Amino acid sequence: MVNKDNNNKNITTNKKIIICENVEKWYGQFQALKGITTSIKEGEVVVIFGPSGSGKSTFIRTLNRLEPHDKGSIKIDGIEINDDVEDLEKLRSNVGMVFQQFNLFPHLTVLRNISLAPQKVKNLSKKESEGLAFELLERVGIPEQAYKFPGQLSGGQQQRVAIARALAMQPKIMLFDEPTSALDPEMIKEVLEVMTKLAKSGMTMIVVTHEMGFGKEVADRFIFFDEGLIVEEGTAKQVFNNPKEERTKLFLSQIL
Amino acid sequence: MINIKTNNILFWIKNNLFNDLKGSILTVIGLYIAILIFFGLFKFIFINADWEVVIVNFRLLILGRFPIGQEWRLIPSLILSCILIGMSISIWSKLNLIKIILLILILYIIFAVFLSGFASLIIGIAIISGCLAYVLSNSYVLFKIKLNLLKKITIYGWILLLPLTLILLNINGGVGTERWGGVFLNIMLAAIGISGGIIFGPLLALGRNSNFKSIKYPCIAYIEFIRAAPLIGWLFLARFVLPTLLPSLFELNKIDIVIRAMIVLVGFSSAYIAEIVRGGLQSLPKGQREAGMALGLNEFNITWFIIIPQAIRAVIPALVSQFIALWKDTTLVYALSLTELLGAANAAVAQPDFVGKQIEVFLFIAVIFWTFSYIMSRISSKMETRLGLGKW
Repeated sequence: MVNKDNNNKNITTNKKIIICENVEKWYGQFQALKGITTSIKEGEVVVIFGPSGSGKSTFIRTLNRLEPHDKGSIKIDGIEINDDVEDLEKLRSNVGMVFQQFNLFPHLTVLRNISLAPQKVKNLSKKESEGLAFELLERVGIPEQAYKFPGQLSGGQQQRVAIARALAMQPKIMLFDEPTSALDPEMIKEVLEVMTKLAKSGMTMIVVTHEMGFGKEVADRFIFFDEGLIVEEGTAKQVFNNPKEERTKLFLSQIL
Repeated sequence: MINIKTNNILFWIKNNLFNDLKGSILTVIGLYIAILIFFGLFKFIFINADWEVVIVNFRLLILGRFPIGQEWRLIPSLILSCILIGMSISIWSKLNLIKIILLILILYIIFAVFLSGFASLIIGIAIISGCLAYVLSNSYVLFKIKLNLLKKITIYGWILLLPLTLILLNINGGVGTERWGGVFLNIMLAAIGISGGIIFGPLLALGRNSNFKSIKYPCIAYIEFIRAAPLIGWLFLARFVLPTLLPSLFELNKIDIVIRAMIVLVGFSSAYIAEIVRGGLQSLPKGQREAGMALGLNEFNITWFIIIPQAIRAVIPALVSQFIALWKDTTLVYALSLTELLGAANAAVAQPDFVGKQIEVFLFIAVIFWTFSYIMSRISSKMETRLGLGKW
């Protein structure tokens, strides 16, 4: 395992594409996010980890407003996200998301899963969108599965289709919500390979995962969440070798 | 038990039917009852029964009081539906040659017994065109047509069948609904009830799930109101109460009773289908909607392309049950003194020439009801098996 702090791709600009200030979120009486302040640069790859229930999934779901936040502000690419946001659909098509449970559409073929949104949102023709879909399937390594249904694929293949589907909208940011947690061990590798390739191509990525090997290879920054707060953030070296906080140390000793 | 060959029938019988004393006794008793019923039925159908009552009243049972000389309006629909059945069997079913020949033989016997002259010619043409359609679409590759196109043509054909029939019934003077009757009326009522239910039911279900209270509560009120009374109650209401309530403006109070029955059936089936589809909507994981949202699809596209198709697929067995129930419920319009199949049957046995011939007539209409219901349930189970792969 190569331990790279600043890896071989360049972060071309220093433009902050995501700016969060004091983001809070309640579920009834329970406060899931207790004031998250952070920013993410264009091209940056960020790995978020932490114990379950720490708010990491909730946080990335606020970034495309699958969960509306209650307080604070989130700016994506300069646009403030709140109830007034004019074109929520457009914002969402700029922020791709990959889910733990894949969430492919089981009644549609792989090809249609990928080409549906480009057709309906970006008004691409059937031919264009299917061409795009084949290109992306090539990129995730399963062009031969185009005419199958999701139920006929293995978990790893399904998750790769899900990545291709999100990429089909040509998003500026990709969110991954525990993309390998629902997979059998032998399938994790194929999904991580696709994600590594994507990270190295310069995509801005926020990945909630406990795959630290993958994180060390591609992540520019690690963020440790606990109890709805960012406890610690920094490069792999900083977080793994010299964690500042006791809670980080304790958690790392449990998962590594 | 495990590796018995299929040709070893004796072995199978010994193992499964006569494996011990208790089993042997049950087998003998069961066999005796089965033989009794079978021979009783056989004897009645082929020896005791006098089918003249059905032969004489065949037109009454099929078309009711449909005006003589106007039957041509139904011929295109009849032939088209036979063609569509042929195509559908070839595309979606795996009937083998033996089954098909058997099917044709049965059809032929039925029509040879009950029909003669022009009517048998038309039925013959319809059956032959159905067979031709089956053969042709079985060899679709020869015509350089893609299977998907063939499927599309067939589905559009089925969708267009009802409008086509309605148009043909109305052009050039038309045949008023008051003259519709027999099994034809049952088919039309069921087709309209089911089609209307498919259109309005999912809309009501979506409305009931809506976040807008001004849509949600009227939908709930409508569904609960309709489901609170039996179908026959609504039919009586449409017959006796509505005319006094509706304004005489545009002669709304003089709408024909058949059309009123259609409106009731559509309204009734919509409410039930809405509740079935709502069950399907609730069975979908939240992630489906979220995946659509995350891709930037708008509410309409998520509903139309992702939610509705899956919700309906999830509830096909319940939906088809509802369709079968509605098909049989069409006999309730007999209470409005319409000559649908049951009404026609009663009219036939009331004729002085055929006193005491109820069994023949009711056996005949039972076979008709059973055939249609069985076809619907077969389609349902076909769809279910395709569901697993997500194919149509």
